[in-house]
Amino acid sequence: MSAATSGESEPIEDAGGSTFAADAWRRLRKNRAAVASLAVLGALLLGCILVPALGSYGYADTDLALGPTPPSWAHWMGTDLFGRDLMVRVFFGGRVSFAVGVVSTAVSFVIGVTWGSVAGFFGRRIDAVMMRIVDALYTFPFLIFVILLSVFFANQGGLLHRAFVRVLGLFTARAHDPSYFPVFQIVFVFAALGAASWLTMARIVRGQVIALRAQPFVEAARSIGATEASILVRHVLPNALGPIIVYATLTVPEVMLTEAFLSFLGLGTQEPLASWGLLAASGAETMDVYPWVLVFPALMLAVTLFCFNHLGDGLRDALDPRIRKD
Amino acid sequence: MPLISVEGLRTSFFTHAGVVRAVDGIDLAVERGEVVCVVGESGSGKTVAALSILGLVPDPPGRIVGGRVVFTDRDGERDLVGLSPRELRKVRGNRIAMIFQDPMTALNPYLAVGPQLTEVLALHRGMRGREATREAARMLGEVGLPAPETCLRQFPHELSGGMRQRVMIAMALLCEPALLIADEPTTALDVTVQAQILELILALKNKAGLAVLFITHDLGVVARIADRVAVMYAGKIVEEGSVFDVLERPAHPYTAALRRAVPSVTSDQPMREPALVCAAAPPSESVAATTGPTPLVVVEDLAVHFPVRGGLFARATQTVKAVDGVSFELGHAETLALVGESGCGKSTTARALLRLVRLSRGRVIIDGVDVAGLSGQRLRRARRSMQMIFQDPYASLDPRMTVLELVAEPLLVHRICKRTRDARPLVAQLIERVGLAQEHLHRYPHEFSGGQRQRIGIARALALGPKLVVADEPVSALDVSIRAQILNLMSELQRERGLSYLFIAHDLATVRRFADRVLVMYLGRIVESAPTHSLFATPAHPYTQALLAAVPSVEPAEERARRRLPLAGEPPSPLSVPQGCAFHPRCAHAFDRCRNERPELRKIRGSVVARSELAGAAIAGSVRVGAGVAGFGSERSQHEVACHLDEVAPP
Amino acid sequence: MSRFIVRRILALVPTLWLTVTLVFFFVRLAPGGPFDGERAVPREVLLALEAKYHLGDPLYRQYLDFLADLVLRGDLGPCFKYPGRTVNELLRVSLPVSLQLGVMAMTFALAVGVPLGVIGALRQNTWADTLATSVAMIGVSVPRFVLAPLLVMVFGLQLYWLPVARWESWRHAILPVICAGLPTAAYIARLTRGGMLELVRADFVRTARAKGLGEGAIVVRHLLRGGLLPVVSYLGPGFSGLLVGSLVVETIFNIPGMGRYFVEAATNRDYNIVMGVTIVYGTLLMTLNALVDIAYAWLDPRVSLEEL
Repeated sequence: MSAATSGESEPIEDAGGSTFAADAWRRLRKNRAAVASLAVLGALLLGCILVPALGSYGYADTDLALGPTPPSWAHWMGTDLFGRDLMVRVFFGGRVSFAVGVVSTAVSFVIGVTWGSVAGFFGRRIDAVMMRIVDALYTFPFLIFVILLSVFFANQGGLLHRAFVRVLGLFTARAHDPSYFPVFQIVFVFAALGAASWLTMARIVRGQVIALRAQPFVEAARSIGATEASILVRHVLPNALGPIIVYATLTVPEVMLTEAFLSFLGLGTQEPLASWGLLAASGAETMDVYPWVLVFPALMLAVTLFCFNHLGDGLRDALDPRIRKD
Repeated sequence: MPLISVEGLRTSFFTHAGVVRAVDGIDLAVERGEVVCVVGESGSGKTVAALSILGLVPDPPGRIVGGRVVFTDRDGERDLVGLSPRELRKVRGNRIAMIFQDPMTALNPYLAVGPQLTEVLALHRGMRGREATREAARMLGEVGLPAPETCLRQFPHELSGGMRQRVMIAMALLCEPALLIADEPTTALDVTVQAQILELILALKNKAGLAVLFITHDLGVVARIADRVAVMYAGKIVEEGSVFDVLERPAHPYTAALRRAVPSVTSDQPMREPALVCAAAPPSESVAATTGPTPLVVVEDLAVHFPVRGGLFARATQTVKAVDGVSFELGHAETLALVGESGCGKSTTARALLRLVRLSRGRVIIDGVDVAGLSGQRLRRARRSMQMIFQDPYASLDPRMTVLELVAEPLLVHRICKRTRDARPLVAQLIERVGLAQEHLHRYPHEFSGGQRQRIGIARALALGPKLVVADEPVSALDVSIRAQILNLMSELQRERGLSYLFIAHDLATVRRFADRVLVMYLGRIVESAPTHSLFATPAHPYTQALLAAVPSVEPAEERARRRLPLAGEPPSPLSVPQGCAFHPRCAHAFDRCRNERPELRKIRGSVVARSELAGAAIAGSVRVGAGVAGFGSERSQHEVACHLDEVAPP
Repeated sequence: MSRFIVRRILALVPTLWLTVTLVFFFVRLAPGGPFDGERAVPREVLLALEAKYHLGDPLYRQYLDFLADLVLRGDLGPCFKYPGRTVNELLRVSLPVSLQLGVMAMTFALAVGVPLGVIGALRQNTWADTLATSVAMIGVSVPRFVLAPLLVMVFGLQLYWLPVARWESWRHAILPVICAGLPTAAYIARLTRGGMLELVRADFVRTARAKGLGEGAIVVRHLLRGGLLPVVSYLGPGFSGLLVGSLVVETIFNIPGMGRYFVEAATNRDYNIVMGVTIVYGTLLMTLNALVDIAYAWLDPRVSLEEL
């Protein structure tokens, strides 16, 4: 694109969508389930930030002599098989789970929106080829993809790990510390997970873009001489934002669920780190004897997923263009 | 005892914003064998009133809050409002049937026509199996569908608009109802098809003694079919009486205004007479088109062919010749109208002019520049001189932009202004010129009424100071009373700025008042080209004649006296344009040559007055001969027609 | 119709080939091999093993051999970890089990999900809707590996109603099927509700009311067909979700299905099993997707198979 168009796409005054955002926000606030979900999610997130930081135990501090104990005043959620404080581990695992949800969704968002909008907007042969690829990938067993990626590219000293260390080196001098390796593993696996879950996003965006492309206001923009790229960026995508946000909100729990599933299979987060999926999976093994080791992480995970799903539904209602039109 | 008597009916909608009294205490009666029209503009409550009779108002948010609907049938007298759901269902579709505006959405797209009809017979008449199928086919034949058995197996999307509405009517009549409620049944249809459907409804009324409650906004339709009229405004009936009284001597000022706002296709009022409320506009003399030596627009042999795509990688399999060899000129400050039924290619022609669709061949010279070959930066520069006003002002404005952003956008795109802020003075000036105020600048399209939105669209089109403005049905989405205001505004702007308009319309009455010259299109080609008065006075092409004949007049007496030349069928699909003259399958005068040889557009032979003999057959009583074409020197002012008939029928 | 099927089969071949190729090289390029874990194995034995399975050959050679065996004889090769067994044998035993579980779980999901969704849509914003929606939401939010132990604990270990492992009688199937199908059922319920809500205010439903049809007849004759379209298009991804879910379920309930072997094989680098299961999964999913497209076109007359 030439300098000409960069001048056009400069943001003009305050955001054009402000009243729509305000409108949607007002409608969302009327939806009690959605507001409650938002509040619970906020509280959980806060807990995940604060509890491991302020708690008197570390997430990896073992006390083999203590072993598993039920909830008590000293350990509100009890301790696990290695005598680690479960509450700290659960909230620490929450950090990982939330991060996974957000990172993977962001990845799938970027790929899916780009792919879908290009296919939908330019149409015809480009669209046909791009969507055939998506169809083919749909039938590609994505689990294998994730597993293979994680074994092949994400090993210690592997290509991607080295790149990660270099990037991390910009922020901290301790980047080479091997204790950062599990962190890298998580980040990597879930970026890969995001890359595997953009397909539906691409389909949704394409559908939206095709519908919007047929709208007269797109033709109107073309008739005043706007370029195709600026029409896509200034007119089509902002109007497609509603369904995109909704689907992104619904992707977060889906990805968290997949991470839990992978951890269950021993492929996701690794000890001594924790994620809700890993905690629940190891809790499930001893649930008949030490039920609390399963109950707390499983409950946290279920509540979070429940809230994200409710929030997504609430957003869908709030952003529904048909309601907006009336 | 009237068949149905609505007494003090009140229906309200309980929304978050408050209670809306959509129907606010109306009284209305329909006798057996009578057609009663309820007229009003959008939001007047006429549809809600119709739905209330059968208890079909969606609840929530709507609810009937008062009044009675007394239905006196063979089973005695019943108040439909108080009836149990079970009893009411026995009336619906059985004694009182209803048809709706859009037959595409009103029929179930997932079911074939057959089951949609037979389920009514099973429900109310206990008819099943072959017997029901036979009865359904008989009824489809009755409403004029050519191949009823085939039709039963078809799905709604495989039928044309007119056929779908006939299916709806057949479905409504299956149980021989006493009353038919028709909610704008012809609004979504072309004028020729509208004429057919209206004839059908009138025939059913005369034959079966059917009573009809007909909801419409179109006074021409009222004049055609109504015995009595009720005018609704803001949920109340403001005037009621016989069709002659109401339309010829309207008592209520609203009715009078509505009546005045409707331009007539048959009366030769001076062009561009300012109508209705627009007091600010000074009446102007009839302005002849300034046909200067060089026209602003020259179109030569323009063609737009669309590939129909299918197959694995969207390969082109068939070609739609949407526009197939169109040539015309448009002078400076001239208004050229493009008319025809839907699918005739008029909108595509306009879009091709603006390079919004890909041209397959031909030249388009606008202000000396051949825009057909331009691309990229040079095309964008050329766009400054050609702008467009759209049919649906709401859909054509980005809902997420303010008025300021919308009107400033063309200025930013062409880098006349760097930022929206810089464009503000210019935008404010434009906005005021089109009749909006400064404080509207920061509002969004949804906060405006339809007419105001169209004003925003006009301001946006004018921002770059274009010479050519293509107006694609700029008023057809607006209420009648608003139309006149917008057209007046467009006329004023034309005088001030010397704009040339390419005006696309299907409403011939509007064209008559607004255009200098008219092109009639049929299946991608121009079949007639003439100065407006000449075309309306002496239409030469049989298609033009039929088109004019199909438009109902607002004068009930005139409308009833008129002889009709109903045009059978609907335009064939542009995928399979007939050989020879594309119009010949529907033409009453077609002969061998028409079937084999495609007629070219040429100057009418002999005197135009003689042509009016032919025209007279079509619209007797409405033609006022006298406006000959002799005085027009310019070639653009000639009356041309593409019809073999013109050559074999000498004066 | 037949053209469509032929085209789909033709499209299946390159996609499968691509999948096979990608997976083939991915697993082999990954560090580690099938016999790495066994430290005790002396070097000579390892070399002998590698020679036996041609793992020492150049990669392109292995690839061509594999393709030739697959295409010409339908032979997927030996299992590395189960000496003496071939992948074909393994699949012959485990595929039917997985298919049974999958079909039963999907049937269960439809039987539960569709009615829940219909109730939700018809009684929108009433207690029945809230209940149906909440049940569905919980179903979506509880992972299978949490659901499974819960079911086992309550119905198997506390109440002693049902067996909790193996795949022998219909009673063995109940818990795994519920566990595999419930999340899918919840998803279907949400889709059904959404699809029906799109239509309940449609013009043709008003027409149906104007004809005098009762609410039940409107649902059955006019709403269900269109309302189920989103569910139908979900069936493809839904089945693949079930397959993934069956990995968990088969592991927890100790069911000898394909999924269990796959997880094991992937971590053990048992290349041939991974390839075999991938091919079976891919073929299954693509066939199901084609069937779903046919069903879609049958339900929605406006969609023609030629355009898919």
